Amino acid sequence: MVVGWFKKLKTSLSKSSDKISGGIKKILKSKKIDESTLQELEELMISSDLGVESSSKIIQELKKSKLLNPSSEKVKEIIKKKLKETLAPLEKKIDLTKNLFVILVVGVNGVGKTATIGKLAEKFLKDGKKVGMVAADTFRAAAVEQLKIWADRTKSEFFSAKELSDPAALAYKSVITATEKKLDILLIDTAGRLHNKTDLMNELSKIIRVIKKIDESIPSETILILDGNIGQNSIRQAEVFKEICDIDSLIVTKLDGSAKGGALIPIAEKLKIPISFIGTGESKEDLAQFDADQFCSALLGIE
Amino acid sequence: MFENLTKRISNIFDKIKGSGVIDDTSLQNVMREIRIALLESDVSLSVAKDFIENVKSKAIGQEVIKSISPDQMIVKIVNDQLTELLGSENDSLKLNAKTPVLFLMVGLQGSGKTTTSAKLAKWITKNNNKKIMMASLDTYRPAAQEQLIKLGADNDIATLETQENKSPLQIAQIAFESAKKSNFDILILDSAGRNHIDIEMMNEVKEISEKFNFSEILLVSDSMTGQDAVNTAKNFSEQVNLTGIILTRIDGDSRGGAALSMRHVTQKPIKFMGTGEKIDDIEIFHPDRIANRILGMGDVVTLVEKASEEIDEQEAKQMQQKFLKGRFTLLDYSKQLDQLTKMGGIQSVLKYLPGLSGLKEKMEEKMENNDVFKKQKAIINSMTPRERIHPELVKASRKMRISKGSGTNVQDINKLLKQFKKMSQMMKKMGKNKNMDSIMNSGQFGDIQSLINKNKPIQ
Repeated sequence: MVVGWFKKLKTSLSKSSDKISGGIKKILKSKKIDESTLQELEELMISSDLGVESSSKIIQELKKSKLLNPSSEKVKEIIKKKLKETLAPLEKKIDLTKNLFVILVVGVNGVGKTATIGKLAEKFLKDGKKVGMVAADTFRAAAVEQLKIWADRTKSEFFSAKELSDPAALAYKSVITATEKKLDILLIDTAGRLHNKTDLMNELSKIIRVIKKIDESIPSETILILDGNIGQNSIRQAEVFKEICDIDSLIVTKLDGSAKGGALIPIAEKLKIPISFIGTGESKEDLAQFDADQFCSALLGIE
Repeated sequence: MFENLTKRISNIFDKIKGSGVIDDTSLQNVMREIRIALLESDVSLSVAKDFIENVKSKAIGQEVIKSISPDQMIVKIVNDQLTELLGSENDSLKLNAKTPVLFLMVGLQGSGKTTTSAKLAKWITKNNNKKIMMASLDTYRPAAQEQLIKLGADNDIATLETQENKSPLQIAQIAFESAKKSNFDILILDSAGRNHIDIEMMNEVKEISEKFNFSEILLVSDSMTGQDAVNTAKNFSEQVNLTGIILTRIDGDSRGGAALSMRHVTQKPIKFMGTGEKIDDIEIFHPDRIANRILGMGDVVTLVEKASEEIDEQEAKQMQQKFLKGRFTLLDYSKQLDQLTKMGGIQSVLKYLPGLSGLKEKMEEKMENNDVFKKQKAIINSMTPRERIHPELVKASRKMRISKGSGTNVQDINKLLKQFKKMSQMMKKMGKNKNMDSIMNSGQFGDIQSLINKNKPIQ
């Protein structure tokens, strides 16, 4: 299965890695590794959403290594090594340490929270777990219906309330009921919110505060969903959500497009938030355990 | 949106300000810094490079105008270039076609197409008085059709009922006939979100776009999009005949570079921007004003427009008189607070003012200022009418009473009184200054009226 997703990730990242590795090849064939080459390399990384700071760090690394005849493979290995040093310690496997294991899913609008919950449920279902879903997005039109369909698809228990009702109250009740029903996992879907909207962020901390009254240790896992298409703003999103709700891990979605999710690098450098999964497509199986080595290889087009 | 870019660019300009001569090296440095500022704001690399090249070539070819210093010259060139990149004027929607006039919304998943469809429908209904119907062609995402129907029901916009087991193209046909039969002026078709490298899905939308005679095909795009914005925009514009772009979530703190990239790649105008979660949170995109905002030159025009929507002109004049004569009371102050709140609070006003974008940030750090306003309102409301006109009456026991009535503490009351006293003193001073009028008429704020006329909404 791992090989399967690696292939998939590679095909999905191939456009981007073609760009990077193709670009590196082109640069190195035509020129010696001088200042302007380094600058172009830096720009190539920037155009994969790695950001100016992280990219220039890597360039410093390249400068130090003083390659006489830099083959594109060598340069890529150095870049990969650097990227992997940052990402490898952050690989995260979610351990279902207890029953009921409550997973709270948060993020800005349109990043793919609901679809990711569906995929997570599918995964847990396959592991023989009893899963519940809570439609705590009581704000967006038809958000409840959308999650309901995912619940049906994955045979999950479904918890919802009237539109515009208090999501914290619903979350509280659902945790109680799910415990009574002896479910293994409860996935709470929250409304998308821009991280700079204080009111909405307060609503989120209220949800957490309220369910903590049942048990201080829940949510067992708070997951922030990031959209792979988003650029440097992802860093801000991670920063602010981390402040409000103590993010346990990240899931990066939509990596089947031509975007690279390169913003993961600066996020990892600055915030050191573990990464649990990546989203690689539209169907319910398209969710893969995050693997730093394979992610870096795929990003750089290394076989 | 754009705050980061604004900050960076104003820092760069601050550095060169006042330097009499700008030589080649310092120009190079400025350009390098601008390039980094653009890249950090998610402007795509190729676009940033083009931008720098254009600025450079203009700067070199430029005759030195005597009245303008070299630093101002660079600011001007960058400003011109930015405006050009964003498109210089707003392009209106094409509404004059055979009815039903057809709109198609396209974009990646999660970019905000459905919400934007409803916002746009509401906006056109309000501003152009048209009868609009919406239909969702999204047969993939669970409950997508229901979402649009709900949005329609909540906002009095007609929608096509849910279509089971039909292809997107079939639904488009059904919607078209239904809109025609019921004499709708405009039909907005909301297509499913799709990955721009998914060939099958792109062919599907291409087919729909060619089957009908669309007046507008709008690419809806998240303003937080990163470097890949160029590819998205490119692929969509190659497959369908885009007529424009709508940027969403500009109320986030994104750096907005995607706007510049997509406009540059497609050469299609950005027509609207989504500014919040509510149905009315959509605005016409005015490139020139946005460019000014990015360069920290403020956007007084939009502020004036916003103000005129919320403030009664007569009342404002009276208020100004009171201001200048020093007869401003707490009651007037409370009215001002209301108006500010209506306009979205002090921060939203500050960001439009020249040179004050930095101040806005400081204010945000300092206070949850809308809460402060609420407190101040409560305090004023708990005062007697006499106290509101003569705040000097408010001494210890009155303060106790007011604090109980307003649920605040005495320190809050002291703070308000102190602040109000300072304000009155300042205003009296301003009133004595005969130069005020001449400052207002100096033309520093541009010919606002003509700008407003130029940017009037769509006819």
